[in-house]
Amino acid sequence: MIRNPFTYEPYPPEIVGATRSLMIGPTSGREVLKIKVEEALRELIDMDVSVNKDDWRLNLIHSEIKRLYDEEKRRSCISDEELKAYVEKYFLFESIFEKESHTSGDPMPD
Amino acid sequence: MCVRFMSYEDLPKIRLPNGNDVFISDSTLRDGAQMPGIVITLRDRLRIYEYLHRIGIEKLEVFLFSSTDKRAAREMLDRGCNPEVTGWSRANTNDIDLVLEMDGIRETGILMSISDPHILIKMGLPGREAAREMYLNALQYAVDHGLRTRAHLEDITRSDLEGFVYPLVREIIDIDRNCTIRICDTLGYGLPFEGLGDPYSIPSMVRRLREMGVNNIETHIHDDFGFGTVNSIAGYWYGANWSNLTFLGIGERAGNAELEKVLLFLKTRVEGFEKYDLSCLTEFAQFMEEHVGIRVPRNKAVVGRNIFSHESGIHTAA
Repeated sequence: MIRNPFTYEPYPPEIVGATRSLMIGPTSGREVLKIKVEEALRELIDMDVSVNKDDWRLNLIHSEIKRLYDEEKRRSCISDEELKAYVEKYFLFESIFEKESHTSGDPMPD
Repeated sequence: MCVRFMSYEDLPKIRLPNGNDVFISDSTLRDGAQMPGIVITLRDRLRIYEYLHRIGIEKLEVFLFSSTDKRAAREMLDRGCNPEVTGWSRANTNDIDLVLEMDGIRETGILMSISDPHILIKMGLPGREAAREMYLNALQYAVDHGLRTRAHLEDITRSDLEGFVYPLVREIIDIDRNCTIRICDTLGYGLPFEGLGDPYSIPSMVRRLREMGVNNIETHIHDDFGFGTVNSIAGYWYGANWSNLTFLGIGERAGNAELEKVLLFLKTRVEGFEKYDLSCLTEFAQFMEEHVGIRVPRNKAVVGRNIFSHESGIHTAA
């Protein structure tokens, strides 16, 4: 899907006036999460940033979301608003603190 | 020789065996509006008309019984564009007079219930002969008053085709050579392939009507068994030149064959259907949710919210 919509879309969304959307749910991998996090960052800080797929902050968000579903606390998708909150928590606030004590974190724009 | 399909353009388009002179008539405002719990206001009927116009639908049919029906028909007719507004009558002169009184309507459908349960139980007629006489009289009346006609052969998939339906069709086309014979699969019993015994095969029916010299054949398929759209397309495949559909498949019980599905099939899979513009379908579905109170299932083909939403890691990463 991300590399080429032809793989899983029977026809382009524009034909019927629709738009494509990526959702975060129990089966989502880090590839989708990365794109959604980049989208959220773009909205939050108004800058294009690219996030490494192995970024430790991305992993933390991924495991936190996975835990929600594993514990069956969650039945619906993670909304864009919720994802923004995760991004704020791990990328904006936590990374300021981490900079001082955690030296192995990837630099944010890569 | 290796064939490789790597883009939408690479995929071969299908050709309709009888050419592309096929059309769509809409029944959202007629059969669709008969859906229990649905009342469509005058303003919303006109909005629906606008959407059908944008898509390029050729024809629609309306009731003319209530004052709102009449006002809606008047406003649509006054716009003077496609879809063409046509009437819907039972087989009596009163209903046909309502059509004749609406200046600008040139065609009406006439309900001709064709199965024994409909003739005997629903209509309460003594038998087929009484039905035959009533239907042909109504048809003659419409023709004498200058209307184009459609014969709505209701419940045809539970009727005696050889014993009653085909002989009646012969008489119908003797009266009006261009009468559109509407195959009404009222209870959704029809199937999209041949080699079945009567009266279930839509292809056999269409083929037989063509052989009898019928010029215009239309399918009108209910979705009780989920075969609405596939039977409509089978109709086109074997020589029907019209299908009668409703947006989102709204209608009584399980509803009708869906307009948007047939449109998508023709537009994206069949060669030469640039005449239809589907870019307002998503907006049209949202309009129906907000204004008409139809809930569109998330996984509904063409217009469901999930159609272009991707979640799973396996699919999204590809």
